[in-house]
Parts: sequence; structure tokens; C-alpha cells
Amino acid sequence: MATTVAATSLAKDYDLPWVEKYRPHKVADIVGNQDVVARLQVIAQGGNMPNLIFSGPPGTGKTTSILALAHELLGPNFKEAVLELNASDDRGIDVVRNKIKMFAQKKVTLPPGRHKVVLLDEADSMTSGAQQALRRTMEIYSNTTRFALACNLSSKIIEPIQSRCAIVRFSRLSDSEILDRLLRVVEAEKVAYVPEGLEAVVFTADGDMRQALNNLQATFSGFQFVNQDNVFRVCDQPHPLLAQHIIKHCVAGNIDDAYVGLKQLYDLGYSATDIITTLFRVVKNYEMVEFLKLEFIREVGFAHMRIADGVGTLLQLSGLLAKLCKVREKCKA
Amino acid sequence: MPQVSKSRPPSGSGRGRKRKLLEGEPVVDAEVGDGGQGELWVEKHAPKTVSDLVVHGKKVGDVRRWLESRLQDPGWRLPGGQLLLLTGPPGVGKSAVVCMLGKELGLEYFEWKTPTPTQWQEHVHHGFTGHRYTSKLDEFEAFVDSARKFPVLPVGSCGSSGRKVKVLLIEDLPHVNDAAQTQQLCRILHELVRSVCFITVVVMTDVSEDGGGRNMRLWGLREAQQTLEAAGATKIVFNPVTPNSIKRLLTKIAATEKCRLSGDYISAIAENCGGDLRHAMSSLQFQCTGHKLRSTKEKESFEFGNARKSALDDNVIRGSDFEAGTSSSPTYGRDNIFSLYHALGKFLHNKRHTDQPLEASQESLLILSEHYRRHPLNMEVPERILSEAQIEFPTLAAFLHENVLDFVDEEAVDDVADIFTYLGDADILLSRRPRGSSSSSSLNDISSSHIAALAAGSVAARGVLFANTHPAPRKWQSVRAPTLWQVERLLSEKKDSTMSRLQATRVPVGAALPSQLSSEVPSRCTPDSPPEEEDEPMDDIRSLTADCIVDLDTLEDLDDDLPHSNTQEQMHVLDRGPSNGFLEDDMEEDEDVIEDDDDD
Repeated sequence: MATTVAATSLAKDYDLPWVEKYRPHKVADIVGNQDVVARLQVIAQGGNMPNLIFSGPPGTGKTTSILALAHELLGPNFKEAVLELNASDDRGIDVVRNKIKMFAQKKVTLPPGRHKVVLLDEADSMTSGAQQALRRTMEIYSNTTRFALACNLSSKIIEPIQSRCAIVRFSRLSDSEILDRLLRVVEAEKVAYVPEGLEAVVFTADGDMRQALNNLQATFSGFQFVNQDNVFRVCDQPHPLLAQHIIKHCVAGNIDDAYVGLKQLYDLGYSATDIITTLFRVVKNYEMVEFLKLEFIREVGFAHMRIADGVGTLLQLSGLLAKLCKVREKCKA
Repeated sequence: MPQVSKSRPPSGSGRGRKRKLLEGEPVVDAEVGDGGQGELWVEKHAPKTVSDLVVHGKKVGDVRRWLESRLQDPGWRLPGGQLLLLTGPPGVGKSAVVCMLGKELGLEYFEWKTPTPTQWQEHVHHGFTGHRYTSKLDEFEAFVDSARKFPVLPVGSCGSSGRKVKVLLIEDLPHVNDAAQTQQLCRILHELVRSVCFITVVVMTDVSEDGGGRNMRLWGLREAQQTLEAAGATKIVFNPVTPNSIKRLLTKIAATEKCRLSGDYISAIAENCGGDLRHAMSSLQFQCTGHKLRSTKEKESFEFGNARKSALDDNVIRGSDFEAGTSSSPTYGRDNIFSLYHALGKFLHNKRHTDQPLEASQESLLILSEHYRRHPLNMEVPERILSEAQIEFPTLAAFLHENVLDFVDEEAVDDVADIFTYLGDADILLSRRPRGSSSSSSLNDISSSHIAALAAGSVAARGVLFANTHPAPRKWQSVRAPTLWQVERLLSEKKDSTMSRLQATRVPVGAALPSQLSSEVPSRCTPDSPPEEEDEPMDDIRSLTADCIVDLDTLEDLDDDLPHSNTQEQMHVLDRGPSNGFLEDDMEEDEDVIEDDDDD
């Protein structure tokens, strides 16, 4: 289905964001979270979808799963049997009571085991009042209508609703899963790339597929070639390799070399916020002794705090390096 | 073969909803496996009789006794004596008890159902055709009024004559948004309790204020409960269902549904639903889908025409020997209760590979002193655990703070000092997070606060892991919810009650002001410029104010210190209060009142 859609409207698709163009249309095509996807697939085949809450960080396939699931469940009836409301729609108490109730009462001819579906995307942005109103509707019409909610934090959904749903958790995608999908897109779009370039895209995405595809497309349309430099230029992030060097020197106690690296980054014109963010992510993933890691994270966190307060000077960053080296001296035998 | 969807009318009276299951119920339609039967298990396995209920027998008995006593004695006319209030967390069987007992005792429920509203746009465009917009609260008020004034429902003792006794059931209280609406709701409920002349049952779901949900304040619920109780209603609180009962029930359902789930898997669900039976059943249904398929596949050699098949097979098999604990991030469990405890357990128990040598730096340059060396962690990277558990970091820090002492040896004071240093640092990092609504903050703020939160989470988790070098001897320990939250809740309650009391006393205050004071008040409104000529009263006021402020901080009871109404003091307290906008309005109104007085 996905391929036919892509093929028939190829010309029209030209300007589509890749995120939309390559959004999976089948549950089976969804990347990552295999456990969950496998179960959803069963539901897509067998019907009788329970009320579900999809929760997880952005770009992990929640909305995609819901839409794909609804498509597979309802097929040609999708248009009339699905009510989709997201954060951009009016979802106040009255709308929930009125619109959703009307939809729930609507008669639609469906195969056995299939139900009308109400999709509430970004449900955590609904007011608690609106969620309260949803509570009864969900119960009364459960034999004809099922609900699927997507949210970033399931704790933002009120307990009575949580109680009525099975919660499906999505976790961040692993780098290899993202890389895998990127390779397929790169192939389909005939993008010229070097492997390091894709690695850089994966780094900038941090487990978020949407971001990965956007960055890839941005790099491609900007430079027609995906390599490390281009990616970081497009994403406007300091090169993590440079940050890694800085941290390496700090761990080794060479404050002079570390400072040279920092100065280089700073002179490239990155803001202190950018630099500290990259430093944080590098420290988080850098292999080092437990004590050092703890202290490094703490110091970087504090430096980040000061910078967020507006003290984004080179002095702060240099001070950070000095502290990191001091920590290292402190724990030396 | 498309056929008409099961558009069974939504169980007419609205009372067809049965939720909880029963024990030992032979399920009639065992159409499982094919998935064609579109029913939620929660409904399919709902209880059919009182004996099916999993709710604690004593609670059921309480409700039954109450109902029976009212039925036998229709002349029961104590104020509020006709109203029963049931509360408890979601999914513990409140409605089920009411429903089942009603069936047994032959009651007929007459339920308040929120009418489908006219939307505001419709009101604007078709106002003249009779589509009127009315607030739910007003509609509820009208309903209650009519229920009070016109006893359309036959009262009491008709059971013998064969007619069913009618009982008013209110489950869906209207939602209120602010103090004024809360007051209106409370007033309505108060009148209801005082003057209703037939049996009324109000079911309210308690929303626990801990967990991640505590920042979502539901207005009016607490106040409504207090009003009902104060007016004399009987209150029965339902507790969460015990894991054992849930487990028994789930096992039974799994057996009738022919899903082969291991016992451990079921007990995991039972223990992690937080006593919420309904959620446990939903989870079970969702978790069983994969297993059901497997049995179907064996029978019909179900074909999956794609590459995912192998993954699915793996998954099914893994699911059935789940007890191996392979998955570190279970996809079930209500909210984040389970994932939170999972992560906490890892951090608090501090498992390490003690058999392996102390870690050494990869850099040969750096040789750690003994004090800073640790055995390698016997777990994943803490950050990974955190991100999988999807915990909010303030929650994590609060829990660690509350519980960590139990896991450190009695003697290890130095360790405790270190741990709390780290937790304190984490707290500082967290304090930078913009709390509450992030609507005004730009994208940049969000990402930066995200980093701060990540750093704080890492520091808290790693700090606890690193500094706890003398773990307490291992024994069974329960994890407590942070007392910090109780304190915060108490604080906010105090603030609210103080505010509302001050608000209530405001008008008489303005009127009762001594005349020689009243002319000066406008100039004295700013606390910075107190007029000098007021000597004695001002001192008095100052000291009172000081008392009040101290009391707010120390959480002592304000009742005694809140004196005979006094504008000055009101302003001072309000000034420290959380809502300054409210304060200003307040003062202006006060001035108006005063000026009117002068004119007179």
C-alpha cells in the first residue's frame, strides 16, 4: 500500500517532507519497539482494539502507529469511522462532550470485531476537565467506539482515563534502528553520502526519527551531499568530535589542550548554550570512571544552569574546564 | 461479509455498565482466539452478582447496611441522612458495588446524565432557534433543584408492593474551573444533601495527588467531598484492590480466554496496576493478544506475509518465559508506578559486581585513589534506565530522598552526607526548570530545561549509587511515597483555605472599618510606606501579620491566629500569597467600598 501510494503520486510528492513521504502506512513497517509493534499487528489483524494510551518521547512512532493501526483496522471505512482530534483542534470540555458523543452515537457499518476509533493525538495537552468529560463517554459507548490516545507523558493523563486504557510505552529508537531506516531513505532518494555523514545525522537526532529525517533532508537539499561537516553546519551544532577532544583532555588533566579545543569551538561562533549542550551529551556518553562521570555531569549541569541564566561567556566555559580538571586531580591517587 | 456493527444502544439507562469481575464466573461465550468478538474484557468479565465482586466484603457490607437501613425506614429524616458518598481510587469497583447491590435489593437507579451540550459556536450562530448554551453547572443545578422540589420519585418502602425503589445516582459531577464555580458546586451539593428526600448515592473518583499526576489539579473535588461530609452525608472510602485478589481474577480470566500466560507474568501485572482492577484487566487483554495469536496460528497456520514474522515469534516465546526478566522496560503498568519502582529498586539496592576488580581508568595516566574506586555496576547505564522508565526527574529525586536512608548502613554517616550533597545539587538543577505551564516559554527554554533536568536526574541517580559504599544489610523494604508531597499538599490546602476565608470576610471588613482609619487606607495600601501616625494598632497588626507569615511557613494551624477581620493584615498576608493579581483587584475593590462609605 505504501509503495503504491508513493508511486502514483510521485510527481506530487516531490516537495513533501520526507517525514511524511516515508511515514509507514502499515503497522509492520514501523521501526523499533518490536514488542509493541508485534502486538499492534495482532490487533490490526484480529480487531477488537482495546482502549489504548500510547506514551513515549517524540519521534518514536506513536502517531504513525495509531494511524496505521486505524487504517489497517478500518480499511475503506477509515473516513467515516475515525474521528481524529489533535492539539490544533478545539478539544474543550464541550467539544469532547458534543463532538465525540455524536461520533460515538453515529451508526457505521463495519465488519465484526471492528469499532469506530477516536484518535486523540497529543492527549497530554488536553485540559483535565476535558479528560474528565471523556471518562464517561469512553465507558458508555465502548461497544461501538474505542479510543486511542497519544501523549508524551502518560502522567499527564488523568487517572480515571489511565484506568480505562491499556498503556503502550514507546521508548527512544536505537541508533542502529534509525540508521537502518535512513539507509533506505537515502537509497530511495538517491542521496550522495558518506557513512560518517549518516552517523552525524543519527547523533543529532538522539533517538528521534522525525528529527533524523528532517536533518537528513535539510542537509541534502542544502548541500546535495551528506557528510559530517555539512550535517553539523545545517543543524548548527558544534561538532561533537571537538567536544570529545575537550573532554578527553580534561580526563587526562591537560587543561591547556582542553582550553585550545574550547577556544576553537568558541571562535567558530557557537553560542555558549550550544557548546554546553554538546558537552553535556558527549559527557553523558563518554566512557570514564564512575566518580568522574558523576562529577563531570554535575559540573556541566551547573555550568549549563549559569549559562541558561544568561552568563554565556567564554569565562564560564573556561571555568568549567578548570573545575573538571580539578575534579580529576582530586581523585588521583 | 460486512454486517451491521454492534450498535446495541448504549445500555439505555446508563446503568448497564458493569465493570468488575467476579470470581468463579463461567464465561458463557468462549469465543476467543478468533478476535472477531469485539468486547472489552472489562465488560465481558464484569461481575454478575454481589458474590462476584472482588471488593473487600466489609465495604460491600457497609454499603448494603446503609442501603437496607434507609429502605426499611423511609421516614429517616436526619439532615443529610439520605445521601451516601462513595470515594476511592479509579478502578476499584465503586460503581460495580452500587450496581450489583442495586440489582440484589431491587433498586432502580435514576441517574444524572450530563446532557450533550450545545457548543458555543452553535449558540452564537443559531441562538434564535433555541440552541442555547448553558453551562453544565447550571444544568446540574436545575436538575438538583427539580429533584429536590418535585419528589417525582416514589419515596421508600415500595419494595414490598412490587415496585422498585428509585434511587438517585450521581456519578458525573460537573467540572469546575475556579473558586467561584467551586463555591457554586458546593452550594448545590449542600442543598442537595440537606433537602433531598429520597436515597441518593454519589460516586466520586479520588485522584491521588502523588505520582506524576500531582501537578494536575482537579478543582473542586476535595471541596465537594468536604461539603457533602460536612452536611451530614455518609462517606465510605474504597481501597485499592489487593494484588492477590487481582491475580486470582486475572488467572481465571486468562484461563477462560485460553491465553497461556505464565503465572509470574500475571502477578507482575497484578502487582503493578496499583490496585486498579480495571486497568489490570485492560492490560491483560492487551498483553494476551500476542499469545492468542500464537494458539490461532497453530490451528490455522496463520500467515504473516512479511519479514516481521520472525520478530513476532521471538516475542511470543519471550513473552511466555517472561520470568527470566529479560525486558527491562515492561510496556504495561498504569502510569509510571511500575517503571518508577523498577528504576528506584536498581538505584537503591546498588548492585555491583563485587567479584570483579575495582575499576581502573582506561587512561594509564590516571590512577584513582582508593576512596574513589568502585566495583563495576551490575546494571545498565543509569541514564538508560532513566530514559526507559520515563520518570519525571523531580519525582525521582523526591523518591530517592525519601527512601535512600533505609538502604544505607546505620553507621555510614559520611556516605549519607555525600548522598545528600548530590541530591541537593540535583535539586538545585531541577529548580531551574520552569514549573507549571510551559506555554509562555519558547522552544529554546524547553530544550534547555530538558538538559538541566537530564543532568539533575543523572546526578541524583549516580550520586546515590556512588556514595552508598556501605549498603544496609539486604532485607525486604517497601518504598514510601515522599512525605514532601504531603507537606506540599498541606501547604497548598492551607493557602487555599486562608485565601478563601479572607475572601469571604472581605466585604464586612470594608464596611466595619473604623471611620478614622478608612480615610487613610488608600495611602497605606503599599506595605512599604506605612503611615507613621498610626502607632498602636499598626504594631498590633504587624505582629499579627508576622505571626501569620511564620505560620504559613511552618505549616501550623492558622485558625487561632487569623483574627477578627482586619484590612491591613489581609493585605499583608495576601501580599506574600501566591497570586498577586488577585491581591490588586482585591485592594481596589476595598478602596471602592471605603470611598462609598465616605460619600455616604
